[in-house]
Amino acid sequence: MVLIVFYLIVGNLAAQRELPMPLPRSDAGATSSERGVVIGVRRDDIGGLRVTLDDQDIPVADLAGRLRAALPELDVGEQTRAVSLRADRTLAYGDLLPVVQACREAGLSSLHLVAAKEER
Amino acid sequence: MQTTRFRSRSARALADMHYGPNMTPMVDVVMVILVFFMASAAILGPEWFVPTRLPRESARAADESNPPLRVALGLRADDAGSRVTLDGREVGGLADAEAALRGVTQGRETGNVVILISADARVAYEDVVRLHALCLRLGFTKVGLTE
Repeated sequence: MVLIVFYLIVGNLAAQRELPMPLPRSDAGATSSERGVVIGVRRDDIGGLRVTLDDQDIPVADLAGRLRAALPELDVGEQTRAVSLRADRTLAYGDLLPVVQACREAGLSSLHLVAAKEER
Repeated sequence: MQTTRFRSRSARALADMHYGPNMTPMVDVVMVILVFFMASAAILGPEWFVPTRLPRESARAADESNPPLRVALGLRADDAGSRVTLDGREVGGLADAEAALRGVTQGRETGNVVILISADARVAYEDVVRLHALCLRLGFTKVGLTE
C-alpha cells in the first residue's frame, strides 16, 4: 500500500515535466488551478534560451504561428483559456520581449505571468 | 452464564460469525486514496500568477466621456538596480515608484487608469514583475506590457 502511494505521488511529480526554475517573486497576484497553454522560457545549458510551448521546444520565430494555430481553442474573444508565461527570474527583459511580442502578434490580449508567491 | 458459552465456541465458529463482507480492507483503500489526494493537492497547489494585458496599437478606449488616465512606466537598468520613470520623469527605485504612482492617480478610480510598462532590454525580468505586482497591489487592473 505504501508503495502504491509512493508511486502515485512520484508519478504525479514526474508528470510536471519541468526542471525547477526560479520564478520571479511577486507579492500580488491571483491564483488559478488552470494552467492553460504554458510558454516556458528558460536558460539553455550553453547560455542561450529555450522557449517551450506546452513542453515542446520551439524557436521563437515559430511561436506566433503556433499560438495563432492554437487560438481557436483559446477562444480569443474574451480569452477563456489562460496562456501562462513561465520564465526564469534571472532573464533580462530583452530576452522575453520577442516572446511577448509573439503573443501580441498572435492576437492574445492577456497573459498570465507565473510567479512565486512572496509575503510582503 | 454468558462468558462460558462464548468461550466454549471454537475459533472456527467465531470466524463464521462475521456477517457480510469484511470492511477493514475497504477502509484501508479509502485511506490510501485520501492520502494520495491530499499529497498531490499539497504538492501541486494552484499556480500563482500576475495577470497582465498585452495592449495593441489599435485598441484605443472607446469611452470618450470618461477617458482613462494613461500612465507610462518605464524601467531602466542601472548598477544599483532598476530605475523607474513615470511618464518620462525619473522617479527612483521601486519604493519611490509607489509614492509617485499614488500621487499621479489621486482622485481617479483605479478601474479608470491604464498603465503601460516598458523596460530596457537589460532590465531584469523580476523587476518588471515586481513593478507589475506593485501596480496590482495599488488596485490597478489595467496594467500591460509593451516594448
